[in-house]
Amino acid sequence: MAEKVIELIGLKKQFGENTVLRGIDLSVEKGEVLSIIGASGSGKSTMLRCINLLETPTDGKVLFHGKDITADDFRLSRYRTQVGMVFQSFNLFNNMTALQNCVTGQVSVLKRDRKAAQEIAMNYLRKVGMEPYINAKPAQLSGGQKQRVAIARALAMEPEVLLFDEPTSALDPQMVGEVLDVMRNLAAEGLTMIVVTHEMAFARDVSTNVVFMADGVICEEGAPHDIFENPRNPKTKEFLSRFLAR
Amino acid sequence: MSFLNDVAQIFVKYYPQLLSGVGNTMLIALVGTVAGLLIGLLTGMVRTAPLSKRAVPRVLHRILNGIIAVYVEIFRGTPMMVQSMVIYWGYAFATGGKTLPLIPSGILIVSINTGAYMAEIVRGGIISIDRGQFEGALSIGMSHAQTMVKVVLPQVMRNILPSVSNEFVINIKDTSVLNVIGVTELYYFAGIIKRQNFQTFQTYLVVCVLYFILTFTVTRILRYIEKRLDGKNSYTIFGSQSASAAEIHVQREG
Amino acid sequence: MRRKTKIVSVFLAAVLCMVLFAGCGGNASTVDVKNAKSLADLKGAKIAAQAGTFHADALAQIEDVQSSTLPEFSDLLTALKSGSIDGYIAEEPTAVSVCKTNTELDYIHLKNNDTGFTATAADVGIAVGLKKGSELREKINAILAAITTEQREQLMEQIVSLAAGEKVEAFAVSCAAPATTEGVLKIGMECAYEPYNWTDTTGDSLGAVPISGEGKDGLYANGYDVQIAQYVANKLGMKLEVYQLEWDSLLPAVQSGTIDAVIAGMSPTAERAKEIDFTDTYYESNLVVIIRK
Repeated sequence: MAEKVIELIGLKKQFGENTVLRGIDLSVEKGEVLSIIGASGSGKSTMLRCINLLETPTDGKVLFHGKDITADDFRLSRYRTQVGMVFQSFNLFNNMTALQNCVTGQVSVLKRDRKAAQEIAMNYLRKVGMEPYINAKPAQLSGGQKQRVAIARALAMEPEVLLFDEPTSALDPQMVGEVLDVMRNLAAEGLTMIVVTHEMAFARDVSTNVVFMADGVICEEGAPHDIFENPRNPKTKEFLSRFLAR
Repeated sequence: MSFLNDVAQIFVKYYPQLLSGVGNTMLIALVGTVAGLLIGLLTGMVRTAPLSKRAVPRVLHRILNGIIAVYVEIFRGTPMMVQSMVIYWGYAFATGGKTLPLIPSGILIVSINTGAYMAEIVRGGIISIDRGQFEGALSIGMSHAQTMVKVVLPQVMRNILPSVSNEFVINIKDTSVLNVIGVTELYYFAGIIKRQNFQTFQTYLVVCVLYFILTFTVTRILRYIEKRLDGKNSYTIFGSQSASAAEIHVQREG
Repeated sequence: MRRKTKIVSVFLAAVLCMVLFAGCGGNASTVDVKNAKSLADLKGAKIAAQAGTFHADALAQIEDVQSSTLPEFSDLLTALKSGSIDGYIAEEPTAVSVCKTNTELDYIHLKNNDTGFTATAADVGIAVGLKKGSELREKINAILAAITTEQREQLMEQIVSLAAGEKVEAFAVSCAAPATTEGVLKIGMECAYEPYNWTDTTGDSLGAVPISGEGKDGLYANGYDVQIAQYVANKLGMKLEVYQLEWDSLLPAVQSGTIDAVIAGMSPTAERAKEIDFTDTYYESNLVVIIRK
């Protein structure tokens, strides 16, 4: 059995009166590509944001290689360099060029030499096909281009795990493909990925595991062909039928 | 025409005083605006920083926030002329007759006054930055301070620059109130000249023109800086599939 | 259509503003005081005085005039020349000095204890102001007592000539500077109340004293007060420093100890005497009203 990289135990999250996560147990192994599907408001994104503490869990634990990330002595900044994140709305730094976006974190957090950082950044920008645009500011790029730079920025920190929070939801349909291609390549290289997505084809074809969430709980979990071909939970069935009917 | 002659005579006879007045006015306004901006940036960062989870730093942070709020309200809510008198003579009474040096106290008064306004301008600038910028920075492990310095403040600076130049222009004009404590800025020298030549209208007309030249020049320079900060409207695409040395220049749309 | 409305509304706003300005603006005077010989001839005229001075108190006692105040003494002359007032209160030496350089002006006396005006000679005198309990008071009184009335009048005449740009050889009240000085005598004045004290930027008039303080290079003070201050300092064996201060800052400055004495043509009124001590008077003069001929 492969090593567990991330483990969620009884994870709960409340926003005031509103309970979003009602006890999530989940583990992600090294090299796994886990897709999380479910209707909007089912708690997928909140769960993902709890994993790198952009949201603080109300209860339960998040373990990284068996260590509790909410512990007082846990080095959060270092942890975040090891668990990268790609956002729905890209969140590129508007005041920097594509290259600077990929360099600044390496220099200020990882304390890499600027020259080395630039080489690493160029490598990943090349990988996502954005090398020609290194001097463009985010405002000068299309959505798909921005998302590819954002992926390069996360990769430049050389993380163990990459979290994707609906990375294609804010894109025009014709740009979805270019981003999914990049993600497909990363999956093929064996990067551990947790992907919250509405791209059912991606979830089915690329992921090693699929989780279906509804109302703050995990309803069904399994291999992609099991979930998509032979869903057992009625909620999963309903969700998928609605999705495929569209 | 004798009127124009009077005006010309004021320039000829009193140019050392006028020049020295212009110099001091610009010195106080410039240093005061920059120092005020620094105060604004510091207070803005403190006030927008997330409260610590630990009790002691959280309480200290709350107290600091309270002090800043009081400072902003008091200095924004009272006239600078009154503040000058209170600070200058308050110090003299408190120290048994010692007085603050004039130009530095002028700079001090303008700085803390501007700081009170800048505190609000910067706070507005910070909260107008999209949350995503903070999250993007946090997600690659940046601390709050790093996020502020590398990502947020550069954007805030660009956004608040028009307000900052506005403050600078206001300060050039408002240094004139410092004449009540005897700071030798431009308006003070206008008084000196007027008391000698008794040509009140001509003297203040000259000074009026000088103030306008100062503010107009400063406005133009700052607008130029704003344009420079926006950077080039275009970027270069490096290489192509076939020839890596090829460069393509792309203009931003609109 | 919308554009037209805009133009019309801007036009209407402009007209409204003009009407308001015309309504609020002070009117030019209608009373003819050209040939006034006494206070009675000033009935209905617009008379002004410097705010916060004994002049303003005196003005308040004059009936049947439209009185107003301005914060700065030198602005009163501008106001008179512009025609916005008919006259202003000054002391006789000032009037002599001003009328010498402005031939279109004249002045009339405000006779004390006459025509409802009740100032005593001592009220109109000017004295040195000191911090309460200052040891300098007795010493300065001794020095001032030695100056005769003739010397005072002669000095004032010389100062008025000096103010008019004439040459003066030696002052009637003067003594040689001591070979060595001990301590500094800091004096505050407006440097804006001719002929008592004024500012000049050349410093080549007899007895001009450079104004002390940061950024005051190239500014000099002279006048009756300056010469009295110089005389007192020399007699005390102290170095004289002159500080230029706003009229309203003089009292706080001497109270806080920023300066040692006010020698600024200041009358020792009862209200001021509550705040600071005064020496005996070093000049007494009549109040006058300066008017256009």
